[in-house]
Amino acid sequence: MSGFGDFSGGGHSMSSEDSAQLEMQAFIEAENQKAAIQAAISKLTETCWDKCVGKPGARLSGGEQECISNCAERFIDTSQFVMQRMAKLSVDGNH
Amino acid sequence: MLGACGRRALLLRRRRKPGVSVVRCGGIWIEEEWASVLASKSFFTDCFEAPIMEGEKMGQLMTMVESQNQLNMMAEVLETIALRCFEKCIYSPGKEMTSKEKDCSMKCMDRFVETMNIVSDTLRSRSNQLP
Repeated sequence: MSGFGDFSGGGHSMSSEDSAQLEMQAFIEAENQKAAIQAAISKLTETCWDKCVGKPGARLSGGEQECISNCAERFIDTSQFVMQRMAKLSVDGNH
Repeated sequence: MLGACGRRALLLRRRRKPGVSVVRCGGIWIEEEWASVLASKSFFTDCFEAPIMEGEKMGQLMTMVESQNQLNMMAEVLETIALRCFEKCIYSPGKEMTSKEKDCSMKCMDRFVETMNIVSDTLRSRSNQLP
């Protein structure tokens, strides 16, 4: 994979200022994405913690672990379901 | 080395809101609207310098942003853990934490981190399955 700064191909050359700007944008975008992913993980962890974990013990019980992983799986299913249905509704609405 | 501009800019910097565009002023980033005010005074002319982005400076800025981002994420997780474990472990807050409450909080922290690991593993494996 090439680095952020390698945008000079394709006919026109780019000033170093432009490519620095692009590199910075890509970097900031990546950092934002990191934070967004972390926020999503945190949010889902809280939800599944509330749903699955009782009194904190020396370890998570097998049931709790299974519940947490099911919780995360079903959350993804649910958000996919919601998105697909929303997409379908908006397609149907256009006819 | 801070000149008049630098000192002034430091004061202004504390009021910086996220999402506000900033410019360089005497080696420091300040809000654009402030910079234009400052630039109207002759001794603040360097406030209108374009953002300097040469390699070394940019690398420094990136490192700063990255570690700040890391700290923010860490702080968020810690806040969440404190809140959730307070809910689980402290029923009626007394004059100080009892040893039972401390023990519970300790376990709670560890279990919460485990929970977070399970969640993030699950999310990762599901995102790898996407076409």
